Amino acid sequence: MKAAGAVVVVVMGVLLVKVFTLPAKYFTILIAFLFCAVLITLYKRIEFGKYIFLLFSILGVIYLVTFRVPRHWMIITVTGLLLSYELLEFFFRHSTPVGDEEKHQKLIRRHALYLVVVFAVILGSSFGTLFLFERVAFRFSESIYVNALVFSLLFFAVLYLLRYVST
Amino acid sequence: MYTLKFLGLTSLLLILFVLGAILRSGDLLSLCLPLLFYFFFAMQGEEPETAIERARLPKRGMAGSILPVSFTISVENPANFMEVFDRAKGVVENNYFLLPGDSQSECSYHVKLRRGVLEIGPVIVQHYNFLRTQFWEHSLKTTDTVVVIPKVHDLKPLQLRPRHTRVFYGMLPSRKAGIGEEFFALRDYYPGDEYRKINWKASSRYGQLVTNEYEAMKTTDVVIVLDARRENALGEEKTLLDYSLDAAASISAAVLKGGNRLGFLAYSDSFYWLYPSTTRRHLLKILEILTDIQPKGSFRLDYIKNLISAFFTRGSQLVLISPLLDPSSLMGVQGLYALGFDILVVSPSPITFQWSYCDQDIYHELARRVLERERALLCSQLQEYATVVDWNTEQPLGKPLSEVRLFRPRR
Repeated sequence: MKAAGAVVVVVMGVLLVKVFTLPAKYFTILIAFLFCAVLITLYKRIEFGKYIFLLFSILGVIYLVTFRVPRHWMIITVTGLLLSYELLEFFFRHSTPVGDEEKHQKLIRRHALYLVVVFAVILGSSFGTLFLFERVAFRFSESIYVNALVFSLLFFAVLYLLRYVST
Repeated sequence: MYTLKFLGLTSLLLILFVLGAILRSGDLLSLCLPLLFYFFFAMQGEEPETAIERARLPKRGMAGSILPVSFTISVENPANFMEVFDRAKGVVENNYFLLPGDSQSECSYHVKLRRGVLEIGPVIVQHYNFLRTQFWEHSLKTTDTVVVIPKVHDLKPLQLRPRHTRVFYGMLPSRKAGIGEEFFALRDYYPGDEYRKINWKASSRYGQLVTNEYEAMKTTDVVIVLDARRENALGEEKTLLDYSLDAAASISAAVLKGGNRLGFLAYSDSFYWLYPSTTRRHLLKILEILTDIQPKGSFRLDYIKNLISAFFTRGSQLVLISPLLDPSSLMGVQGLYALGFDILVVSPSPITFQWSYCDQDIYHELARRVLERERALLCSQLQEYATVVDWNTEQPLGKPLSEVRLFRPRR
Protein backbone atom coordinates (compact mmCIF):
# COMPACT_ATOMS: atom_id res chain seq x y z
CA MET A 1 0.00 0.00 0.00
CA LYS A 2 2.92 2.28 0.70
CA ALA A 3 3.95 1.75 -2.93
CA ALA A 4 0.52 2.98 -4.11
CA GLY A 5 0.81 6.03 -1.88
CA ALA A 6 4.30 6.71 -3.18
CA VAL A 7 3.10 6.47 -6.81
CA VAL A 8 0.27 8.96 -6.11
CA VAL A 9 2.77 11.36 -4.58
CA VAL A 10 5.15 10.93 -7.55
CA VAL A 11 2.37 11.47 -10.13
CA MET A 12 1.09 14.54 -8.32
CA GLY A 13 4.66 15.75 -7.80
CA VAL A 14 5.39 15.52 -11.52
CA LEU A 15 2.18 17.47 -12.24
CA LEU A 16 3.20 20.06 -9.68
CA VAL A 17 6.68 20.50 -11.19
CA LYS A 18 5.19 20.71 -14.67
CA VAL A 19 2.58 23.36 -13.78
CA PHE A 20 5.37 25.77 -12.79
CA THR A 21 6.27 25.95 -16.48
CA LEU A 22 2.71 27.04 -17.36
CA PRO A 23 1.64 30.69 -17.56
CA ALA A 24 -1.51 30.04 -15.47
CA LYS A 25 -0.44 30.92 -11.93
CA TYR A 26 -3.66 29.99 -10.16
CA PHE A 27 -3.59 26.54 -11.66
CA THR A 28 -0.19 26.06 -10.03
CA ILE A 29 -1.72 27.01 -6.69
CA LEU A 30 -4.62 24.58 -7.26
CA ILE A 31 -2.28 21.71 -8.06
CA ALA A 32 -0.08 22.59 -5.07
CA PHE A 33 -3.20 22.54 -2.90
CA LEU A 34 -4.18 19.17 -4.38
CA PHE A 35 -0.68 17.83 -3.73
CA CYS A 36 -0.94 18.84 -0.05
CA ALA A 37 -4.43 17.33 0.16
CA VAL A 38 -3.12 14.03 -1.23
CA LEU A 39 -0.25 14.01 1.26
CA ILE A 40 -2.58 14.67 4.22
CA THR A 41 -5.14 12.11 2.94
CA LEU A 42 -2.48 9.45 2.68
CA TYR A 43 -0.72 10.29 5.91
CA LYS A 44 -3.86 10.55 8.03
CA ARG A 45 -5.72 7.83 6.09
CA ILE A 46 -8.80 10.03 5.59
CA GLU A 47 -10.93 8.19 3.04
CA PHE A 48 -13.15 11.23 2.57
CA GLY A 49 -10.07 13.02 1.13
CA LYS A 50 -10.57 11.29 -2.22
CA TYR A 51 -13.86 13.16 -2.78
CA ILE A 52 -12.22 16.50 -2.00
CA PHE A 53 -9.44 15.52 -4.39
CA LEU A 54 -12.06 14.81 -7.08
CA LEU A 55 -13.81 18.14 -6.55
CA PHE A 56 -10.63 20.20 -6.77
CA SER A 57 -9.45 18.15 -9.76
CA ILE A 58 -12.61 19.21 -11.64
CA LEU A 59 -11.94 22.84 -10.68
CA GLY A 60 -8.38 22.49 -11.95
CA VAL A 61 -9.53 21.01 -15.23
CA ILE A 62 -12.07 23.85 -15.74
CA TYR A 63 -9.19 26.24 -15.16
CA LEU A 64 -7.09 24.42 -17.78
CA VAL A 65 -9.87 24.75 -20.34
CA THR A 66 -10.53 28.41 -19.55
CA PHE A 67 -6.90 29.38 -20.04
CA ARG A 68 -6.50 27.33 -23.21
CA VAL A 69 -3.62 25.19 -22.05
CA PRO A 70 -2.17 22.96 -24.81
CA ARG A 71 -4.35 19.89 -25.47
CA HIS A 72 -1.66 17.26 -24.97
CA TRP A 73 -0.96 18.79 -21.57
CA MET A 74 -4.70 18.65 -20.79
CA ILE A 75 -4.79 14.95 -21.63
CA ILE A 76 -1.74 14.27 -19.44
CA THR A 77 -3.26 16.20 -16.55
CA VAL A 78 -6.66 14.51 -16.72
CA THR A 79 -5.07 11.07 -17.02
CA GLY A 80 -2.71 11.87 -14.15
CA LEU A 81 -5.58 13.05 -11.95
CA LEU A 82 -7.66 9.97 -12.83
CA LEU A 83 -4.70 7.72 -12.04
CA SER A 84 -4.15 9.53 -8.74
CA TYR A 85 -7.81 9.06 -7.82
CA GLU A 86 -7.60 5.35 -8.69
CA LEU A 87 -4.43 4.98 -6.65
CA LEU A 88 -6.07 6.69 -3.69
CA GLU A 89 -8.93 4.21 -3.94
CA PHE A 90 -6.40 1.40 -4.30
CA PHE A 91 -4.60 2.63 -1.19
CA PHE A 92 -7.75 2.73 0.94
CA ARG A 93 -9.26 -0.45 -0.49
CA HIS A 94 -6.24 -2.57 0.23
CA SER A 95 -5.31 -1.06 3.60
CA THR A 96 -8.17 -2.98 5.25
CA PRO A 97 -7.26 -6.02 7.39
CA VAL A 98 -8.70 -9.11 5.70
CA GLY A 99 -9.12 -12.79 6.48
CA ASP A 100 -6.83 -14.32 3.89
CA GLU A 101 -3.73 -12.18 3.46
CA GLU A 102 -2.07 -14.50 0.93
CA LYS A 103 -4.93 -14.18 -1.56
CA HIS A 104 -5.14 -10.50 -0.83
CA GLN A 105 -1.49 -10.03 -1.84
CA LYS A 106 -2.23 -11.87 -5.08
CA LEU A 107 -5.18 -9.52 -5.68
CA ILE A 108 -3.05 -6.43 -4.97
CA ARG A 109 -0.48 -7.49 -7.58
CA ARG A 110 -3.22 -8.14 -10.16
CA HIS A 111 -4.89 -4.82 -9.42
CA ALA A 112 -1.63 -2.85 -9.67
CA LEU A 113 -0.75 -4.50 -12.98
CA TYR A 114 -4.25 -3.78 -14.28
CA LEU A 115 -3.96 -0.07 -13.40
CA VAL A 116 -0.56 0.22 -15.07
CA VAL A 117 -1.82 -1.41 -18.26
CA VAL A 118 -5.15 0.47 -18.33
CA PHE A 119 -3.65 3.91 -17.80
CA ALA A 120 -0.91 3.24 -20.35
CA VAL A 121 -3.65 2.29 -22.83
CA ILE A 122 -5.77 5.35 -21.92
CA LEU A 123 -2.83 7.71 -22.36
CA GLY A 124 -1.68 6.03 -25.58
CA SER A 125 -5.17 5.90 -27.10
CA SER A 126 -5.94 9.51 -26.16
CA PHE A 127 -2.72 10.75 -27.74
CA GLY A 128 -3.33 8.52 -30.74
CA THR A 129 -6.81 9.94 -31.28
CA LEU A 130 -5.58 13.49 -30.76
CA PHE A 131 -2.83 12.89 -33.30
CA LEU A 132 -5.36 11.43 -35.72
CA PHE A 133 -7.60 14.48 -35.56
CA GLU A 134 -4.98 17.24 -35.15
CA ARG A 135 -1.88 16.23 -37.09
CA VAL A 136 -3.36 14.06 -39.81
CA ALA A 137 -6.31 16.45 -39.95
CA PHE A 138 -8.63 13.50 -40.30
CA ARG A 139 -12.29 14.41 -40.64
CA PHE A 140 -15.32 12.24 -41.27
CA SER A 141 -17.25 15.30 -42.39
CA GLU A 142 -16.98 19.09 -42.45
CA SER A 143 -19.50 19.44 -39.65
CA ILE A 144 -18.12 19.04 -36.12
CA TYR A 145 -21.42 17.48 -34.99
CA VAL A 146 -21.25 14.77 -37.61
CA ASN A 147 -17.60 14.14 -36.75
CA ALA A 148 -18.38 13.78 -33.07
CA LEU A 149 -21.38 11.55 -33.78
CA VAL A 150 -19.44 9.26 -36.14
CA PHE A 151 -16.54 9.03 -33.73
CA SER A 152 -18.88 8.17 -30.83
CA LEU A 153 -20.66 5.53 -32.89
CA LEU A 154 -17.32 4.03 -33.88
CA PHE A 155 -16.18 4.05 -30.28
CA PHE A 156 -19.29 2.29 -28.98
CA ALA A 157 -19.17 -0.19 -31.85
CA VAL A 158 -15.60 -1.14 -30.86
CA LEU A 159 -16.67 -1.26 -27.21
CA TYR A 160 -19.51 -3.70 -27.78
CA LEU A 161 -17.51 -5.70 -30.28
CA LEU A 162 -14.80 -6.22 -27.69
CA ARG A 163 -17.34 -7.18 -25.03
CA TYR A 164 -18.94 -9.64 -27.43
CA VAL A 165 -15.55 -11.15 -28.31
CA SER A 166 -14.54 -11.41 -24.65
CA THR A 167 -17.67 -13.43 -23.76
CA MET B 1 -25.24 -2.96 -11.49
CA TYR B 2 -23.40 0.27 -12.02
CA THR B 3 -21.91 2.19 -9.12
CA LEU B 4 -22.29 5.87 -8.33
CA LYS B 5 -18.77 6.39 -9.62
CA PHE B 6 -19.78 5.07 -13.02
CA LEU B 7 -22.84 7.30 -13.14
CA GLY B 8 -20.73 10.33 -12.16
CA LEU B 9 -18.18 9.50 -14.83
CA THR B 10 -20.87 9.08 -17.49
CA SER B 11 -22.52 12.36 -16.53
CA LEU B 12 -19.19 14.20 -16.62
CA LEU B 13 -18.37 12.73 -19.99
CA LEU B 14 -21.76 13.64 -21.44
CA ILE B 15 -21.63 17.18 -20.08
CA LEU B 16 -18.14 17.73 -21.50
CA PHE B 17 -19.10 16.23 -24.82
CA VAL B 18 -22.31 18.26 -25.15
CA LEU B 19 -20.57 21.47 -24.06
CA GLY B 20 -17.70 20.80 -26.47
CA ALA B 21 -20.14 20.20 -29.30
CA ILE B 22 -22.27 23.27 -28.51
CA LEU B 23 -19.31 25.60 -28.01
CA ARG B 24 -17.41 23.97 -30.88
CA SER B 25 -14.46 23.72 -28.51
CA GLY B 26 -11.73 21.32 -29.56
CA ASP B 27 -10.19 21.68 -26.08
CA LEU B 28 -13.31 20.33 -24.39
CA LEU B 29 -13.61 17.51 -26.87
CA SER B 30 -9.95 16.55 -26.39
CA LEU B 31 -10.60 16.58 -22.66
CA CYS B 32 -13.24 13.92 -23.29
CA LEU B 33 -10.68 11.53 -24.80
CA PRO B 34 -9.05 10.11 -21.61
CA LEU B 35 -12.49 9.98 -19.96
CA LEU B 36 -13.90 8.17 -22.98
CA PHE B 37 -11.20 5.49 -22.90
CA TYR B 38 -11.55 5.22 -19.13
CA PHE B 39 -15.30 4.75 -19.73
CA PHE B 40 -14.46 1.95 -22.12
CA PHE B 41 -12.64 0.01 -19.38
CA ALA B 42 -15.32 0.93 -16.85
CA MET B 43 -17.93 -0.79 -19.04
CA GLN B 44 -16.12 -4.13 -19.04
CA GLY B 45 -17.62 -7.01 -17.05
CA GLU B 46 -20.34 -9.62 -17.14
CA GLU B 47 -22.59 -10.78 -14.35
CA PRO B 48 -20.97 -13.75 -12.60
CA GLU B 49 -22.96 -16.74 -11.37
CA THR B 50 -22.17 -17.52 -7.77
CA ALA B 51 -22.74 -20.52 -5.50
CA ILE B 52 -21.85 -20.34 -1.81
CA GLU B 53 -21.57 -23.42 0.38
CA ARG B 54 -20.88 -23.27 4.09
CA ALA B 55 -19.20 -26.07 6.06
CA ARG B 56 -21.46 -27.48 8.79
CA LEU B 57 -21.26 -25.82 12.17
CA PRO B 58 -21.82 -27.53 15.54
CA LYS B 59 -25.15 -26.81 17.26
CA ARG B 60 -23.52 -26.15 20.62
CA GLY B 61 -20.31 -24.52 21.71
CA MET B 62 -18.68 -23.47 24.93
CA ALA B 63 -18.00 -19.83 25.84
CA GLY B 64 -14.37 -18.83 25.37
CA SER B 65 -13.65 -21.56 22.83
CA ILE B 66 -12.71 -20.85 19.22
CA LEU B 67 -15.14 -21.86 16.49
CA PRO B 68 -13.70 -22.25 12.98
CA VAL B 69 -16.10 -21.03 10.27
CA SER B 70 -15.45 -21.75 6.60
CA PHE B 71 -17.31 -21.56 3.32
CA THR B 72 -16.57 -22.07 -0.37
CA ILE B 73 -17.49 -19.67 -3.16
CA SER B 74 -17.79 -21.07 -6.67
CA VAL B 75 -18.10 -18.52 -9.47
CA GLU B 76 -18.78 -18.93 -13.15
CA ASN B 77 -17.49 -16.07 -15.27
CA PRO B 78 -15.79 -14.29 -12.32
CA ALA B 79 -15.26 -10.51 -12.19
CA ASN B 80 -11.93 -8.90 -11.26
CA PHE B 81 -12.31 -9.26 -7.51
CA MET B 82 -14.73 -10.22 -4.77
CA GLU B 83 -15.58 -8.54 -1.52
CA VAL B 84 -16.87 -11.15 0.92
CA PHE B 85 -18.45 -10.50 4.29
CA ASP B 86 -19.93 -13.05 6.65
CA ARG B 87 -22.05 -11.61 9.43
CA ALA B 88 -21.28 -13.02 12.86
CA LYS B 89 -21.77 -11.53 16.28
CA GLY B 90 -19.13 -11.87 18.95
CA VAL B 91 -15.40 -11.57 18.86
CA VAL B 92 -14.65 -12.25 15.23
CA GLU B 93 -11.23 -12.31 13.62
CA ASN B 94 -11.39 -10.96 10.07
CA ASN B 95 -14.67 -12.13 8.61
CA TYR B 96 -14.08 -9.71 5.73
CA PHE B 97 -12.25 -10.92 2.63
CA LEU B 98 -10.93 -9.31 -0.54
CA LEU B 99 -10.30 -12.07 -3.02
CA PRO B 100 -9.13 -12.20 -6.63
CA GLY B 101 -11.78 -13.29 -9.10
CA ASP B 102 -11.05 -17.02 -9.22
CA SER B 103 -13.53 -19.71 -10.12
CA GLN B 104 -13.31 -21.27 -6.65
CA SER B 105 -12.29 -19.62 -3.39
CA GLU B 106 -12.26 -20.88 0.16
CA CYS B 107 -12.70 -18.53 3.08
CA SER B 108 -12.19 -19.36 6.73
CA TYR B 109 -12.03 -17.40 9.94
CA HIS B 110 -12.45 -17.92 13.65
CA VAL B 111 -15.07 -16.74 16.11
CA LYS B 112 -14.33 -16.55 19.81
CA LEU B 113 -17.60 -17.73 21.31
CA ARG B 114 -19.51 -15.67 23.84
CA ARG B 115 -22.38 -16.99 25.93
CA GLY B 116 -25.79 -16.79 24.24
CA VAL B 117 -27.18 -17.66 20.87
CA LEU B 118 -24.74 -16.93 18.06
CA GLU B 119 -26.12 -16.39 14.58
CA ILE B 120 -23.69 -16.77 11.71
CA GLY B 121 -24.68 -15.52 8.29
CA PRO B 122 -25.79 -14.43 5.77
CA VAL B 123 -22.68 -14.46 3.59
CA ILE B 124 -22.62 -11.49 1.23
CA VAL B 125 -20.44 -11.63 -1.88
CA GLN B 126 -19.97 -8.54 -4.05
CA HIS B 127 -18.15 -8.89 -7.34
CA TYR B 128 -16.42 -5.76 -8.66
CA ASN B 129 -14.36 -4.79 -11.62
CA PHE B 130 -11.01 -3.21 -10.73
CA LEU B 131 -12.23 0.33 -11.44
CA ARG B 132 -15.20 -0.31 -9.10
CA THR B 133 -17.68 0.98 -11.66
CA GLN B 134 -19.81 -2.17 -11.73
CA PHE B 135 -20.80 -4.65 -9.04
CA TRP B 136 -22.96 -7.73 -8.67
CA GLU B 137 -24.18 -8.89 -5.28
CA HIS B 138 -24.97 -12.43 -4.20
CA SER B 139 -25.74 -13.76 -0.75
CA LEU B 140 -26.28 -17.01 1.08
CA LYS B 141 -29.35 -16.00 3.03
CA THR B 142 -29.52 -18.97 5.39
CA THR B 143 -28.10 -18.41 8.85
CA ASP B 144 -26.59 -20.96 11.19
CA THR B 145 -27.28 -20.86 14.90
CA VAL B 146 -24.85 -21.98 17.56
CA VAL B 147 -25.98 -22.11 21.19
CA VAL B 148 -23.04 -21.07 23.33
CA ILE B 149 -23.18 -22.44 26.85
CA PRO B 150 -21.05 -21.06 29.70
CA LYS B 151 -17.55 -22.45 30.10
CA VAL B 152 -17.55 -25.69 32.10
CA HIS B 153 -14.27 -26.10 34.01
CA ASP B 154 -13.21 -29.65 34.75
CA LEU B 155 -13.34 -29.64 38.57
CA LYS B 156 -12.25 -32.27 41.03
CA PRO B 157 -15.07 -33.71 43.19
CA LEU B 158 -16.34 -30.92 45.43
CA GLN B 159 -15.27 -30.90 49.06
CA LEU B 160 -18.66 -30.67 50.78
CA ARG B 161 -19.60 -31.85 54.23
CA PRO B 162 -23.40 -31.66 54.44
CA ARG B 163 -25.25 -32.34 57.68
CA HIS B 164 -27.97 -34.25 55.86
CA THR B 165 -27.35 -36.90 53.24
CA ARG B 166 -29.53 -39.24 51.26
CA VAL B 167 -29.68 -43.02 51.65
CA PHE B 168 -27.76 -43.73 48.43
CA TYR B 169 -24.03 -44.28 48.47
CA GLY B 170 -21.96 -41.61 46.79
CA MET B 171 -18.84 -39.55 47.32
CA LEU B 172 -19.65 -37.23 50.23
CA PRO B 173 -18.84 -38.01 53.88
CA SER B 174 -22.17 -38.49 55.66
CA ARG B 175 -21.21 -38.27 59.38
CA LYS B 176 -22.70 -41.77 59.74
CA ALA B 177 -21.10 -45.21 59.96
CA GLY B 178 -21.28 -47.28 56.82
CA ILE B 179 -19.31 -48.23 53.73
CA GLY B 180 -16.40 -45.90 53.30
CA GLU B 181 -12.67 -45.50 53.70
CA GLU B 182 -12.23 -42.89 56.46
CA PHE B 183 -12.14 -44.07 60.09
CA PHE B 184 -15.30 -43.01 61.93
CA ALA B 185 -15.60 -44.85 65.30
CA LEU B 186 -15.00 -48.05 67.29
CA ARG B 187 -17.69 -50.53 68.33
CA ASP B 188 -17.96 -53.97 69.89
CA TYR B 189 -17.31 -56.92 67.65
CA TYR B 190 -20.37 -58.77 66.42
CA PRO B 191 -20.19 -62.23 64.90
CA GLY B 192 -20.06 -61.88 61.16
CA ASP B 193 -17.81 -58.77 61.14
CA GLU B 194 -14.87 -59.00 58.75
CA TYR B 195 -11.59 -59.92 60.47
CA ARG B 196 -9.73 -57.16 58.64
CA LYS B 197 -11.97 -54.59 60.33
CA ILE B 198 -10.98 -55.72 63.82
CA ASN B 199 -8.82 -53.10 65.52
CA TRP B 200 -6.32 -55.40 67.25
CA LYS B 201 -4.56 -52.67 69.24
CA ALA B 202 -7.85 -51.34 70.65
CA SER B 203 -9.03 -54.92 71.31
CA SER B 204 -5.92 -55.63 73.44
CA ARG B 205 -6.47 -52.35 75.30
CA TYR B 206 -10.19 -53.04 76.03
CA GLY B 207 -9.75 -56.76 76.63
CA GLN B 208 -12.46 -57.68 74.09
CA LEU B 209 -12.74 -57.61 70.34
CA VAL B 210 -13.38 -54.15 68.92
CA THR B 211 -14.19 -53.34 65.31
CA ASN B 212 -13.41 -50.20 63.27
CA GLU B 213 -16.34 -48.33 61.77
CA TYR B 214 -15.92 -46.19 58.69
CA GLU B 215 -17.71 -43.04 57.62
CA ALA B 216 -20.29 -43.80 54.97
CA MET B 217 -19.94 -41.97 51.67
CA LYS B 218 -23.38 -40.87 50.52
CA THR B 219 -25.05 -38.55 48.10
CA THR B 220 -26.89 -35.39 49.01
CA ASP B 221 -29.18 -32.77 47.55
CA VAL B 222 -27.21 -29.81 46.28
CA VAL B 223 -28.99 -26.62 45.24
CA ILE B 224 -27.22 -24.01 43.21
CA VAL B 225 -28.47 -20.51 43.95
CA LEU B 226 -27.27 -18.03 41.37
CA ASP B 227 -27.29 -14.28 41.91
CA ALA B 228 -27.87 -12.67 38.48
CA ARG B 229 -28.84 -9.20 39.67
CA ARG B 230 -28.07 -6.14 37.57
CA GLU B 231 -24.87 -5.41 39.56
CA ASN B 232 -23.38 -8.42 37.75
CA ALA B 233 -23.20 -6.49 34.48
CA LEU B 234 -19.70 -5.26 35.36
CA GLY B 235 -17.10 -5.77 32.64
CA GLU B 236 -16.98 -5.45 28.89
CA GLU B 237 -16.09 -8.49 26.84
CA LYS B 238 -16.77 -10.92 29.67
CA THR B 239 -18.97 -9.69 32.48
CA LEU B 240 -18.93 -10.63 36.14
CA LEU B 241 -22.13 -12.59 35.50
CA ASP B 242 -20.32 -14.67 32.88
CA TYR B 243 -17.81 -15.71 35.56
CA SER B 244 -20.68 -16.57 37.92
CA LEU B 245 -22.30 -18.62 35.16
CA ASP B 246 -19.03 -20.43 34.43
CA ALA B 247 -18.85 -21.29 38.12
CA ALA B 248 -22.50 -22.44 38.16
CA ALA B 249 -22.00 -24.65 35.10
CA SER B 250 -18.75 -26.15 36.40
CA ILE B 251 -20.11 -26.84 39.88
CA SER B 252 -23.30 -28.34 38.40
CA ALA B 253 -21.26 -30.74 36.28
CA ALA B 254 -19.03 -31.68 39.23
CA VAL B 255 -22.01 -32.22 41.58
CA LEU B 256 -23.83 -34.45 39.10
CA LYS B 257 -20.63 -36.39 38.38
CA GLY B 258 -20.54 -37.27 42.09
CA GLY B 259 -24.01 -38.86 41.81
CA ASN B 260 -25.77 -36.13 43.84
CA ARG B 261 -29.14 -34.66 43.10
CA LEU B 262 -28.93 -31.11 41.86
CA GLY B 263 -31.50 -28.35 42.15
CA PHE B 264 -31.18 -24.92 40.62
CA LEU B 265 -32.50 -21.47 41.35
CA ALA B 266 -31.39 -18.22 39.72
CA TYR B 267 -32.78 -14.77 40.37
CA SER B 268 -32.45 -11.78 38.07
CA ASP B 269 -35.55 -9.82 37.01
CA SER B 270 -37.42 -13.13 37.25
CA PHE B 271 -36.84 -16.56 38.75
CA TYR B 272 -35.51 -19.68 37.06
CA TRP B 273 -35.71 -22.91 39.02
CA LEU B 274 -35.44 -26.65 38.58
CA TYR B 275 -36.29 -29.31 41.13
CA PRO B 276 -33.44 -31.62 42.14
CA SER B 277 -32.59 -34.38 39.71
CA THR B 278 -29.57 -36.42 38.69
CA THR B 279 -29.63 -36.99 34.96
CA ARG B 280 -27.45 -35.62 32.18
CA ARG B 281 -30.57 -34.17 30.63
CA HIS B 282 -31.05 -32.19 33.82
CA LEU B 283 -27.55 -30.72 33.39
CA LEU B 284 -28.46 -29.70 29.84
CA LYS B 285 -31.60 -27.99 31.16
CA ILE B 286 -29.49 -26.03 33.64
CA LEU B 287 -26.99 -25.07 30.91
CA GLU B 288 -29.89 -23.94 28.73
CA ILE B 289 -31.08 -21.61 31.48
CA LEU B 290 -27.55 -20.34 32.07
CA THR B 291 -27.24 -19.53 28.35
CA ASP B 292 -30.22 -17.16 28.48
CA ILE B 293 -29.78 -15.36 31.80
CA GLN B 294 -29.02 -11.64 31.63
CA PRO B 295 -27.96 -9.39 34.51
CA LYS B 296 -31.21 -7.69 35.50
CA GLY B 297 -33.45 -7.11 38.47
CA SER B 298 -32.81 -6.29 42.09
CA PHE B 299 -34.26 -9.11 44.21
CA ARG B 300 -32.65 -9.42 47.63
CA LEU B 301 -31.28 -12.65 49.06
CA ASP B 302 -33.15 -12.20 52.36
CA TYR B 303 -36.36 -12.22 50.30
CA ILE B 304 -35.27 -15.17 48.14
CA LYS B 305 -34.52 -17.34 51.20
CA ASN B 306 -38.21 -18.00 51.76
CA LEU B 307 -38.56 -19.18 48.20
CA ILE B 308 -35.56 -21.50 48.58
CA SER B 309 -36.97 -23.06 51.74
CA ALA B 310 -40.33 -23.52 49.97
CA PHE B 311 -38.89 -25.25 46.90
CA PHE B 312 -36.02 -27.32 48.26
CA THR B 313 -35.65 -29.77 51.15
CA ARG B 314 -34.26 -28.22 54.30
CA GLY B 315 -30.85 -29.62 55.11
CA SER B 316 -29.76 -29.57 51.47
CA GLN B 317 -26.36 -28.25 50.60
CA LEU B 318 -26.74 -24.79 49.07
CA VAL B 319 -24.08 -23.41 46.75
CA LEU B 320 -24.64 -19.67 46.58
CA ILE B 321 -22.83 -18.10 43.63
CA SER B 322 -22.79 -14.36 44.09
CA PRO B 323 -20.29 -11.48 43.92
CA LEU B 324 -21.81 -10.37 47.28
CA LEU B 325 -22.78 -6.94 45.96
CA ASP B 326 -26.25 -7.47 47.41
CA PRO B 327 -26.39 -5.51 50.71
CA SER B 328 -28.64 -8.21 52.18
CA SER B 329 -26.15 -11.05 51.53
CA LEU B 330 -25.23 -11.47 55.18
CA MET B 331 -28.84 -11.42 56.36
CA GLY B 332 -29.82 -13.83 53.61
CA VAL B 333 -27.10 -16.32 54.49
CA GLN B 334 -27.95 -16.02 58.19
CA GLY B 335 -31.59 -16.73 57.38
CA LEU B 336 -30.77 -19.75 55.21
CA TYR B 337 -28.47 -21.12 57.91
CA ALA B 338 -31.25 -20.71 60.44
CA LEU B 339 -33.58 -22.63 58.11
CA GLY B 340 -31.19 -25.59 58.29
CA PHE B 341 -29.28 -25.35 55.01
CA ASP B 342 -25.56 -25.96 54.69
CA ILE B 343 -24.11 -23.19 52.61
CA LEU B 344 -21.09 -22.86 50.36
CA VAL B 345 -20.63 -19.32 49.04
CA VAL B 346 -18.62 -19.03 45.81
CA SER B 347 -17.96 -15.37 45.18
CA PRO B 348 -16.20 -14.09 42.06
CA SER B 349 -14.39 -11.02 43.37
CA PRO B 350 -15.76 -7.84 41.73
CA ILE B 351 -12.84 -5.80 43.07
CA THR B 352 -10.00 -7.60 41.30
CA PHE B 353 -12.26 -7.91 38.25
CA GLN B 354 -13.00 -4.19 38.07
CA TRP B 355 -9.42 -3.24 38.86
CA SER B 356 -8.35 -4.30 35.38
CA TYR B 357 -10.87 -1.87 33.83
CA CYS B 358 -10.09 1.30 35.82
CA ASP B 359 -7.22 3.81 35.78
CA GLN B 360 -4.77 2.26 38.17
CA ASP B 361 -3.78 5.51 39.85
CA ILE B 362 -3.33 6.38 43.51
CA TYR B 363 -7.04 7.24 44.06
CA HIS B 364 -8.28 3.98 42.58
CA GLU B 365 -5.61 2.13 44.53
CA LEU B 366 -6.91 3.69 47.76
CA ALA B 367 -10.53 2.86 46.79
CA ARG B 368 -9.51 -0.70 46.01
CA ARG B 369 -7.89 -1.14 49.41
CA VAL B 370 -10.96 0.21 51.21
CA LEU B 371 -13.26 -2.08 49.21
CA GLU B 372 -11.01 -5.07 49.84
CA ARG B 373 -11.15 -4.41 53.59
CA GLU B 374 -14.95 -4.18 53.44
CA ARG B 375 -15.16 -7.41 51.46
CA ALA B 376 -12.76 -9.22 53.78
CA LEU B 377 -14.94 -8.14 56.72
CA LEU B 378 -18.10 -9.37 54.99
CA CYS B 379 -16.43 -12.70 54.14
CA SER B 380 -15.29 -13.20 57.73
CA GLN B 381 -18.85 -12.48 58.94
CA LEU B 382 -20.25 -14.94 56.38
CA GLN B 383 -17.78 -17.61 57.49
CA GLU B 384 -19.71 -17.82 60.74
CA TYR B 385 -22.56 -19.42 58.83
CA ALA B 386 -21.09 -20.71 55.58
CA THR B 387 -17.97 -21.86 53.82
CA VAL B 388 -16.78 -18.94 51.71
CA VAL B 389 -14.71 -19.23 48.54
CA ASP B 390 -13.37 -15.81 47.48
CA TRP B 391 -12.61 -16.38 43.80
CA ASN B 392 -10.11 -14.16 42.07
CA THR B 393 -11.40 -14.44 38.49
CA GLU B 394 -7.88 -14.29 37.07
CA GLN B 395 -7.30 -17.75 38.54
CA PRO B 396 -9.04 -20.97 37.47
CA LEU B 397 -12.01 -21.86 39.67
CA GLY B 398 -10.54 -25.23 40.69
CA LYS B 399 -7.77 -23.64 42.76
CA PRO B 400 -9.85 -21.74 45.36
CA LEU B 401 -12.36 -24.62 45.52
CA SER B 402 -9.60 -27.10 46.35
CA GLU B 403 -8.38 -24.80 49.14
CA VAL B 404 -11.75 -24.76 50.94
CA ARG B 405 -11.53 -25.25 54.69
CA LEU B 406 -14.37 -27.60 55.57
CA PHE B 407 -14.01 -27.49 59.32
CA ARG B 408 -15.14 -23.94 59.79
CA PRO B 409 -15.85 -22.63 63.29
CA ARG B 410 -19.48 -23.21 64.29
CA ARG B 411 -21.55 -20.78 66.25
